[in-house]
Amino acid sequence: MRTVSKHTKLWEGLTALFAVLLVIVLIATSICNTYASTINDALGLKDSEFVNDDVDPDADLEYYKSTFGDLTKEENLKEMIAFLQKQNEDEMREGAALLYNQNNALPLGKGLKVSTFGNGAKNPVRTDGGASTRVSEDVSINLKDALAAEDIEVNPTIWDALPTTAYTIAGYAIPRGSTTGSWGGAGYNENSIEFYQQQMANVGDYDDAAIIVIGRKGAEGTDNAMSMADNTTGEMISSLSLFENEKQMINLIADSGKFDKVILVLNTGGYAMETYEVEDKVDAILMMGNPGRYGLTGVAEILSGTTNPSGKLVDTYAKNSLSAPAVVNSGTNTPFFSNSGLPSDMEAYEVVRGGAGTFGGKIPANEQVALISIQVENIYIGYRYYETRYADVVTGDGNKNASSGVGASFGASEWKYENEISYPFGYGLSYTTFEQSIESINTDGDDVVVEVKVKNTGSVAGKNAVQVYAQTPYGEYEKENMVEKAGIQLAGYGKTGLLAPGAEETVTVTIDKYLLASYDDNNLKGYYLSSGDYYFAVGSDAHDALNNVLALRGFGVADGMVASTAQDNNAAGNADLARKWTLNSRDEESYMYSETANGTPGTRVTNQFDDCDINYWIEDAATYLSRSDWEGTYPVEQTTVAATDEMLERMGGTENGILWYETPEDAPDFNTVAANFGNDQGITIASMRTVPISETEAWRNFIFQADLEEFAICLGESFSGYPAAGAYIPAAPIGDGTNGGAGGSDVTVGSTTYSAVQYTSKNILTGTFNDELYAGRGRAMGEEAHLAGKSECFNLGIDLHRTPFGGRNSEYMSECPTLTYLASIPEVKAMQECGVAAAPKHFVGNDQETGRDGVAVFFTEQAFREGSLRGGEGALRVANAGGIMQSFERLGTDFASLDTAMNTNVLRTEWGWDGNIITDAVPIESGDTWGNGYRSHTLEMLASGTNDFCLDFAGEHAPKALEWAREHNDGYILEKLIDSVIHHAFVVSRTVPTNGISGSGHMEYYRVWWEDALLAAAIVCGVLAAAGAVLLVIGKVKEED
Amino acid sequence: MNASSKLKSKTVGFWLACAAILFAIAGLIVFGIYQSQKGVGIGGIYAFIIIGILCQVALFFYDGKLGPVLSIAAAVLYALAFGFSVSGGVGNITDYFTGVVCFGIPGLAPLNFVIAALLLISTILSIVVCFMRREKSE
Repeated sequence: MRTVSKHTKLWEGLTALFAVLLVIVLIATSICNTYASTINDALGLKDSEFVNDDVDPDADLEYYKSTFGDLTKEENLKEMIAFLQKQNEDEMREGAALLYNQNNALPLGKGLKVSTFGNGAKNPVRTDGGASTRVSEDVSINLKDALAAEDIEVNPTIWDALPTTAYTIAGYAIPRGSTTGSWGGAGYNENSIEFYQQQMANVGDYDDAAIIVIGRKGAEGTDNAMSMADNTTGEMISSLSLFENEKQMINLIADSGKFDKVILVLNTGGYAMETYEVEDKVDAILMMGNPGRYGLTGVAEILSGTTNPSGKLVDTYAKNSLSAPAVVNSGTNTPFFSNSGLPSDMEAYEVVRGGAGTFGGKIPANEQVALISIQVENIYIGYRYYETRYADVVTGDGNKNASSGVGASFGASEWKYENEISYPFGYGLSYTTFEQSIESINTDGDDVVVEVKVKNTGSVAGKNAVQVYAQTPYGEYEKENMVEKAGIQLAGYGKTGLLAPGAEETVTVTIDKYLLASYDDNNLKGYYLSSGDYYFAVGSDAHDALNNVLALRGFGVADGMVASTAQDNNAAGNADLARKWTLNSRDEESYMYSETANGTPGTRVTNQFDDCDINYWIEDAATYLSRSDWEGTYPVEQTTVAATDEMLERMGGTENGILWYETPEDAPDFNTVAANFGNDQGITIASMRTVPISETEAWRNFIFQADLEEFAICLGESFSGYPAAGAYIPAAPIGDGTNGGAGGSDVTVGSTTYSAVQYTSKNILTGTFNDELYAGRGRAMGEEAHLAGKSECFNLGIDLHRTPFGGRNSEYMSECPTLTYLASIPEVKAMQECGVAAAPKHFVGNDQETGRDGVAVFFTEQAFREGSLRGGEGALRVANAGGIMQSFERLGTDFASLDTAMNTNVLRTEWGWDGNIITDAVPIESGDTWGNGYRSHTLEMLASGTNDFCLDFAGEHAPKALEWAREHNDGYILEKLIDSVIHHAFVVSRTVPTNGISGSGHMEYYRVWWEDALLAAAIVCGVLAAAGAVLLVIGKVKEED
Repeated sequence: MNASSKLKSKTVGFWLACAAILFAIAGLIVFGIYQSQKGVGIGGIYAFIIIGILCQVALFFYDGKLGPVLSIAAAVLYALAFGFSVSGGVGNITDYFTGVVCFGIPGLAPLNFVIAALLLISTILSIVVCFMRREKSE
């Protein structure tokens, strides 16, 4: 019988144990190395640092200072923290929009006892799910406490009974119906009616008012559903309409007769909810968006009357959100290319990474080609559709068939404004009344200057937004050349200070005529000002302003004019609030050449996006909406096409990892360019702070100090920021989040620990119509970023609310490109005054989340330039933002990161903009080999003008491009890498990471503790495994003996 | 020795090895399902699991001088499969917890959890088996 000693089994077991541990430690090391910068950021560790030589002790190396002074002084830090909180509160105070207030139900007053209902009351959507999520209930103000501060006591029994669990969004997560992770918030799955029936017994004397909070939320990668099953009835409905259990709850509370007042609060960040069904049940409706951390203080103050609301809607609230012409081809309705080969029963939301079409094997699925979204709505998104159609119903300017039943909601045979709209763009009530009058208007020069006198004619102090709108001529030239015009468009705005009853103030609104110009992509291929009559009007909202224009033009109620809402009486308009300006001949000169961000001479503006019109590829494939024929062009069916071979080749026809890049014939020799590297001249980045990027030789000399192999490492961003490169480019941390997150995690300064603030959703901030608060947001997030040492912050969402369903509408400002253009300017400038580069995202036209990875978006150049592109133009061309993050979608056939027309022709050449261009997330670790796969086309990215690579955890893009260039003797790609590093370093040199660096010194790199710990663990495990193995062998030998 | 008496001679260690094999087979199947749904993971994981299973199966028939090598190899191979399956699933798991669709396919994260759990159990069982006798006669 063979015997096995206990010792032998022990050695066998220990060998196995330590060998397994060794394997796990080695793989963990590999994973940790990939995500090293993210781990270091989370642990507060640095792996590189600039070491100065011989610093003059009196030298001030803090080039970019906090606007609050030295933040190591406790009083300054506390002042900053107080400012951040006040900013969050003020956004809500001035941005929440009072939509409905029957019999002046609001304000409630004080000394009251109320009951709260709805998931959102206790568990509000403080912020949507996405990159900017930085909010904790633990440190946030809740509604109960906020009301208590206003001497309004909340029913504790019902409050305690409301659940605290997270709710799902009313959209398609993946797979359908699953939650989107850990973000809490109210959603479509409101509590059952039985729950509220039970709670009605607990009302007691908390009956002064019922405050009902319902909401919707969105998230990255998910749009709110355009059609989904009601979770009570099973009926297919829009997720922005009220669900049956929400209606049941509201009816129960309203019909109970227990409450003096029923107040409905909408907790929705940019998703225009449809409330018309319950308006006769409630006394007031307040839209509070997403409150962030402190915003509920503002809500409570408005409810009590401490604050008089002055917020305005930045979106149109339609009775039927599905009536927007963009809905049919976007969001969860987005169609597939008809020849994608995907299953016929597959839905748009099911397309995720690796799940796209293969077009009969013509292109790999990992190129993410599946969805096509043709923007047949043309320029008509939001109010630019509804108000234009209304204008044409009244005037017939476009076509007499504007009142056709095509596009009418609820099966109506005739399109009527009052049947379509609940609350127009710009709408919002006050507790007082204001009288606005135009004191003067000056149309000379490049601007139109309007002076508006505002008088508080009511009995409560308040602020008032001044909205100036314009109607531009829609004449024969426009109709012949298919140039579309909105019937009314926002042109400028201003806001009064707090006006006491009887007080008045004159607000001056300056309108750049450029914003009134049209882009003619057919004939002129450039911007021009139409000849004819221009009308300018002030109004309490877009519809009111349009009515004022129509009144000046001689139209009236008999022509079909109607009021803004059923509760308003402005149907006839007021001609005194409008003015006419006539341009006798078409102006084709003023905007023929661009104005640039960097002050260099502008270039001739001309078409860049012809191939983004689907009709470029396939004749008459799409009919774009035109006011010249509402009936014939309103989209009632989805528009899709079979992608042609030419299109497929552009989108995914790779050969050896090359999509379309070819080495230019005049490309320099690789080795000749490479020979410049390694020439250390001791130039630090601090020395480059004031060197303009146009001084190319100076910047190249700075870059050439590094070794060839290391100089471009800094281009690979990985969640927390850009790594250092060589001896002179420091690491550059980034902040990500449009409504928070600029500072990232907690930061401790001295004895004070500061936690980053989550601000209101952008529809609330933008709804303030207050440049001071826009700048305040920029300053607040800039200061947070400054404190955390950030170089760049993706702070600004500049995409449009193309539909009310967009999953990230809460991060984007408005449906109006002009408002986005204007509101972004103060925020960018204020952030950059803090020494932090503002970087808008997602540049540009990322208006939906469904299939965002690669959805091919087609449009007319006019719609793009006056819409999506205009939204980002203010931040870049005017405010000179430091950077941009690109978007995931395809502009036509080209992934945004590969689009030369955008990245080079428009941004660099036309706009003269010098910032850095970073992709959206493009890790290559998804199983794709480099060059193969939608996110892996580094050569094309570089060739098109992209600079940096977002979430390139393993830092692969630039090194692999360098390796390819060397192998193929391609000095052009090497030059593109050099150019990218210059843009990168240019931004770093203008921001906080350059603080502390003198004119001489160098970077030092070192290992962090967890790297040593993993190495030690590997060594220990290895040694013990080897020892075990040796002892096992010895034991075995002894057994044999 | 007939089959019945042979089975009777087996120890708890033997049955734990059987359990490790069953968990590994389950992991193999789930990994196959995961990959059929576009899940990211190196093909080597199949090899690690299959060879690990073969090593343990071989021990049923052979437990000579190299027996401990096979036993240890099985544990190490399962550990490799476990480690690389986690490595390949980082994107899915990140998206699952953050709620965004950015790095992977969040819907596949539950499969990543199942695969990791099955392979980790196989690994742990295989380590335990190394400490134990496989037959009562030993």
